Amino acid sequence: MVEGPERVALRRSAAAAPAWLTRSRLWGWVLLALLYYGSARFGYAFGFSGPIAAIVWLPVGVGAAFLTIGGLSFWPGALIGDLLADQYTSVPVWGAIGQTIGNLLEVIVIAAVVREVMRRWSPLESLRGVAGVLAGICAGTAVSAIVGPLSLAVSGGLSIGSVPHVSWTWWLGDTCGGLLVVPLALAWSRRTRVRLSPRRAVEAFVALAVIGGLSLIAARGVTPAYLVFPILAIVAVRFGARGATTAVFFSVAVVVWGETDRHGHFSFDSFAPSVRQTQFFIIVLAISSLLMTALVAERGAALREMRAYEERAFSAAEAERRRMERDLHDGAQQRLLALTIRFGLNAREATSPTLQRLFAQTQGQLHQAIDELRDLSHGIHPSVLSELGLANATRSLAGRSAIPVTLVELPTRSADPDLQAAAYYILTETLANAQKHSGASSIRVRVSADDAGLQVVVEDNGVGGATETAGSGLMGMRQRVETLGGSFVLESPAGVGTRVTAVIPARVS
Amino acid sequence: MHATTPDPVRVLVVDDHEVAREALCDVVAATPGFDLVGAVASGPEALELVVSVAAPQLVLLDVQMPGMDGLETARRIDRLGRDVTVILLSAQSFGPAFQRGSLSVLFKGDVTPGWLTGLWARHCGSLI
Repeated sequence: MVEGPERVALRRSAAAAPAWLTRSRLWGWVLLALLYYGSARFGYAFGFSGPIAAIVWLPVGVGAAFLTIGGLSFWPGALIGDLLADQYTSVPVWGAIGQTIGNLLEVIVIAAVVREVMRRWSPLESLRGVAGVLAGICAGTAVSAIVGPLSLAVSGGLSIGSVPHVSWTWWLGDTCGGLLVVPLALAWSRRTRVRLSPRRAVEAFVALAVIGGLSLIAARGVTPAYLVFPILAIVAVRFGARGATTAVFFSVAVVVWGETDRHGHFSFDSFAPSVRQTQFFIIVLAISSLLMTALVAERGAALREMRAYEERAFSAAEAERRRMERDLHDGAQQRLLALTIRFGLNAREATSPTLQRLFAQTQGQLHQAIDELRDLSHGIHPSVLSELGLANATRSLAGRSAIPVTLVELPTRSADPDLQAAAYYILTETLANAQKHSGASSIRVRVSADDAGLQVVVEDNGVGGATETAGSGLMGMRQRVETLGGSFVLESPAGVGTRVTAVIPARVS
Repeated sequence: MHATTPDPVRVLVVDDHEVAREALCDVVAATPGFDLVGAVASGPEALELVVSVAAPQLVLLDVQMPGMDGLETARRIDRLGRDVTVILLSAQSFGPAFQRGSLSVLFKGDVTPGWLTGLWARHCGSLI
């Protein structure tokens, strides 16, 4: 296709646009302006926002969340949204403009602080992060709560004397908006998939229903509002940041709806104590829920760290055992073996009976030393594993068992040495137990390995009735398997036999 | 070639531990009717020697070696299709299970001239 003059002209005009004015940025402004304006209208429509103050001023949260997640460069969207949302008929124009400047600074301060917090910590899953987010919201809303009422007073829309009172209510309403929306948006903006099993979905639904019900009767003054707290704590524990922020939002929506339903539209003349009470309730609810979420998350992270540490320590110990076994094998064991072989060679030369007897005795003791050394190194780490692999080591164990062992399945591939050592340990322990206690006439062994890890099943047809007691071999097996993140199941009904199932998951490196 | 003095059995010793390897070599050297054609420390070296002019008939092979272990070396020697018998040796004895099945691993400490001639005689007997 030949480039026509129009096409060239189009390109020129595109080139003339400044580099920062990209299409996506423009769309971002439009989207933010719409969201900001929409949330403001929503507040007016449902009567929880008035021309000067609100129970919950949602646009703060919407604007701050958008700038936090999208970037500070979207601020013109908030400016446009706020200009559109201003109620010019109720307040003087200059007052409204001052109010808008305050509101714009407010969302920018919150977003800047929260972004800075996010660079250092997880904003919702650490106490420091939550503290930072709270500080950002409080600071940003303070800017608006000072600039807004002052500019209204200067332009004559408010008496100077009522500025402190209005500032206080303003700050409470804006803080409520920030506390409700910013954490909610942060929790849901992360790109992690939500997987709710039917059971969890039912649990979530029931929790929301209970929260909704309690919030509703609390808003109607039937029961104390704090009844909802334990449920929100449970939600924070069970569903993390997403669950907690959603539950708080839902609870507050119901409470505010109840409040406005009872008191009519929120406006100049309705700075009622009950409104203040509702705002305190929202702030306390949101902050406690955020702190709870952070505590739960920190506890989870600490647990995971501890488990990883435990696993590393276990792995290091296993590696050390393997190293010691190898050193014994490569050093003393080989030297003793060579000595035995050479000794056998020289023993032929001995002609006198005394010498022959001496040679025989010495050779016997050498064999004993080799056996003892082998047992010692086997106790440290069964070298049969490194020499022959788990399948052959299992065959060897089965061959030495006094009770006939049927090998139903053996692994066809090798696995992580730690996993193999644990599986071998289970096998030696269960086979020894069966021989000592079960009175069984046959044992069936199944060992399988796949991408998921190793599975060991040992069952006998003995007397059953085996129990795990502290310090027992069974308990030791469970601990060893669980340290590796696996599961250990003992089934031993009396008179039927005993089955031990150990599943040891593969390491995710 | 005289019918009464057959060619000695050509033996290759494979063991990564020098002390054990030398001791095994000494046994082979001291056994009448056996000729040491090579002593190496790894599987790949063993494979090279099996196909070389040395053409060992009997390989005394250590099970546990770094890199290509004894089992893998034995498998590869088998795949070469030569007329060669492999005896796997270990620093430990594994019990009777290992002398029954297809896999036979013998205890290194048992190796003596008598053991070697007896083993070879049984092997040749089983071939007839």
